[in-house]
Amino acid sequence: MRKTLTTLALTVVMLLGLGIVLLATASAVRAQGLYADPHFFVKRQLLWLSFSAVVVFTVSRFDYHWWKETPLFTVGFFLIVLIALLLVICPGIRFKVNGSYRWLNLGPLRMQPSEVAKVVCVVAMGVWMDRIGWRVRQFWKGAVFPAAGLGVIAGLLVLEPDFGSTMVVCFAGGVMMFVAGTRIPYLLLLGGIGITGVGAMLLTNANRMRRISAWLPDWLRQLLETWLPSLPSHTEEVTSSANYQLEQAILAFKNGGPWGVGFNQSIQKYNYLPEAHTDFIFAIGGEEFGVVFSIGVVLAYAVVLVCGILITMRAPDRLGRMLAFGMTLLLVFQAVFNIGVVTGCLPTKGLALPLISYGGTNLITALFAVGTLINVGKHVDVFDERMHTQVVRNAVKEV
Amino acid sequence: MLMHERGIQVRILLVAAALFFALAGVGARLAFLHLADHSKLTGREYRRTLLGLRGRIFDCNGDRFPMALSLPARQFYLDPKAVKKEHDPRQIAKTVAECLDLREEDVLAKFNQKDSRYIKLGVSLNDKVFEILSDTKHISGVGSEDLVRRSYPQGRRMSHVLGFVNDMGVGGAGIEQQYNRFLTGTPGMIESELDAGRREIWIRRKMYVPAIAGSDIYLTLDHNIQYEVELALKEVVEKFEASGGWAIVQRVKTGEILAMASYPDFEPEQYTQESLDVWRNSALAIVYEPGSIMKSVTVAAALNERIVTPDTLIDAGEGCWMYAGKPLRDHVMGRISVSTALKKSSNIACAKIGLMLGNKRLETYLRAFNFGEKLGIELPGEERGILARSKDWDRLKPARVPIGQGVAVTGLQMINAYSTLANDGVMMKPYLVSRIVSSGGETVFKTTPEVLGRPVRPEVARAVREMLIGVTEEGGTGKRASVPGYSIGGKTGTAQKAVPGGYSSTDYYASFVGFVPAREPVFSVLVSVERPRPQHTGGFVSAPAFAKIAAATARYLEVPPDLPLEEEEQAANRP
Repeated sequence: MRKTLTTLALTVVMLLGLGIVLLATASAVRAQGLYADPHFFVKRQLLWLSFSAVVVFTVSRFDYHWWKETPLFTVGFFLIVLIALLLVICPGIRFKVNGSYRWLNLGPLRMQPSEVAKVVCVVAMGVWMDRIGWRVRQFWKGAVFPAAGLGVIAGLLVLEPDFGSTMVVCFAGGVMMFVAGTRIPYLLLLGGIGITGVGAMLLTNANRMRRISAWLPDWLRQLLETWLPSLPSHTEEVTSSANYQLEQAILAFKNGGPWGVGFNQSIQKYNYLPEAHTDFIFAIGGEEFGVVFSIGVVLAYAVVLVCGILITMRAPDRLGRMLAFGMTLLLVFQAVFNIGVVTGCLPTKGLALPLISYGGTNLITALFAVGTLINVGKHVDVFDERMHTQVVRNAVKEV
Repeated sequence: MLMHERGIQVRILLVAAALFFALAGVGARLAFLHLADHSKLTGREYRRTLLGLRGRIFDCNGDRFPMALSLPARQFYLDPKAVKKEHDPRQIAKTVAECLDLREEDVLAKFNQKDSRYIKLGVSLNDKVFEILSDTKHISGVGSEDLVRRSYPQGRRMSHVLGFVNDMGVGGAGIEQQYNRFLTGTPGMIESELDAGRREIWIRRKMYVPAIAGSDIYLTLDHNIQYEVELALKEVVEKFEASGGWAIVQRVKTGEILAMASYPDFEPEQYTQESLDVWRNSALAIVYEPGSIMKSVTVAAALNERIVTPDTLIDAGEGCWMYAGKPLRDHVMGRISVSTALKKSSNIACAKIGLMLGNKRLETYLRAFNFGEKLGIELPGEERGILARSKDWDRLKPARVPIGQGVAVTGLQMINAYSTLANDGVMMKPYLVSRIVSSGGETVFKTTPEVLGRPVRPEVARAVREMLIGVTEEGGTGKRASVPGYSIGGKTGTAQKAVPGGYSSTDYYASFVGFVPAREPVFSVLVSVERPRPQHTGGFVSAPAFAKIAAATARYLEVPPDLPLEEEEQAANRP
């Protein structure tokens, strides 16, 4: 287990380092334009990184059993995030950035509660599934209650709106339920309800519809048009504007070729790619460092996946297993989705690349996930759950 | 554990496998994009030609007052198809009309010419206008490009000397044409890359070749003298309803031209509004029979050949003298001295002096004074004049050429001949470019006065000058040319205009040419007026204009007066 943890830690450190290097080149143009300081975002990110180091250190030392032993932690964490999500969309406090309310102003810092919501869902789901134990097979406790909890968070995220995070929360929560043992028919039922809801949202919003249909292949779009006359018309202009980011990202990869154009030599970052330092940072990396970089990063996430699954499989107890699995899922699913979007395999959704994209909250939550994984990994050799819990209880009493 | 441990493990591995395949999938996609679709991005290159500004033209006062200069400007054009839907064409038209000083309706009409994507709107030198019209929030469809605008701050001043520059930036007349090679700048170039806002990414600049401005040209002309000359010329042409006129002021010691004007003149910035005739620099491009002003040359030749002295008496007859079957009329009668012949402009006496010289010698002297040849001034369009070889002369010519008929000259040749007499017989080459200075400040070329020849001896020149003073004195034909305080030597000339088959009885060239002050000449002046009406004599039409120019120039050049003020004026000035 020690090797697994070392590998995981090294891979994460490598990704973080790569992230800073990429940010330095990808954000320079934007930062120069906005703040007349090409290193503005890099400095910010380094600040957040030092903060995240504290988080990862704390979380990896903080015994994950506390989540179970003191339900107040979990409930409190859940409630704080819930309140934060309410504040974000509360009229008067809320403020719009790029058409949605995602930010919470905390004095000099700005937070995105939707990022924190992802980890809180995983933690809460893990604790819940551990608590109900065998009753996971029941309809209410195993399916409806956890789904309702997810639904509240997801509903608030939709109101922002932040569909990327909604999707991540629903996906991670759903898969955790599946792994915990919720019966397949119930899951299918919930899934059906969820898909209906998503479909309704899509159909009622022309802009979202346009983005989706722009991404669809032509034959499928034509088929849909015959069925759904309400689909927005596809003049060339509309498609090209919806597709613009994607086209530019793909051009970046093509331009990169096998070896890349070289550090700081990207042309796409000169405002051709609108979100060059956040959601589309991977495209800039691909352009500057070529296929070696792109495949390397994908491999790094594969290593994270393997390490995460190893920790999950060997976790000492059910809670540890659920937490480790949920955190692995968060990291890898977001990475897959982000790269899928950037390479044009998936419709454009604003999701950051964990550990690499610019964004403080994103960084903290990603490292929170890594910290939890390490924490669980450290307990692998302690087989007896009860015994371990006893140790913790004694420690509390002594304090 | 109530659920089978194995079941959970299977589910975990299933999800893990799915994620693994997804990672493999995006990995494959990436490899495909990077390797199979690898293609260098194009269309992001930036290339710009930097305009090398055309050199400036200055007068002799140096670079404080440019006579011609090039200014970077923007040519604005309209692309009706690029007007965005959210913008109101009327609003855009209003702004454009205000900025470019156009009529709003005209601009609006251009918005409807949908078949063209490049409709010129106007040119502006103002950066502010560029700023306003480049504001993409409110304006669309209006584009602009770099342009160099040739500007002539003094408008019509020196228009014939300066010339003009055509739309392609090539000089089309005058100095602009003659020195086009020096004036034209060398364009520079920038090669770089473009950002998404179509602006240059300056840190990606690959090549920068700075543009080099053209050389500056310094003329010998003085805009102050030019002003007086143009004013006097315009006055005389308008007063006598003449069809045109030209005037030159030349410094006798060096041959440099101080002023050169033709009328009608034109606005160099709007040269297309005038016809070809107006562009012509009449002072050196019109060939005309000079008439009596040629007599001084004839007399100078005879004096140089020692055939006559100023006091030699010549019989002018009874007002009409038959020679070669044609009568030569004269208003002077009896036996008169050579000086009187010049003072009163006797046709018969001067013709006889010419005959005494003989055809061959007369032609030799005329050629020595550079008649029939270009003087090689630095302007395009200079004419040679018409001077037939003496052996080809008919029977009449020997008696007509001495009085300025049957020989045609340019104004420049005429004034240069008088400057030669004024310069003790040393003929200088006329020039009007004093130096050419490159944009780097290096003097590329500097004109030094050049002696073309010495057609007459100094004492002959002095003698002729003495005689010519008589012309402007009481009893002379050019009394109106006198200037208070200065001795003036000069000669009137009234020549019938040659028309096909003979001479016009109504159209004349009225000329006066002379130098100031007569005894120590500093400059010479020529004024010729074409077709003045109703008066047509040089003494009446051109002499007053000469006086005006001479008076102003003498004072401007601070030439000390050599005569006491006339008594009446002294009386008038007395308190």
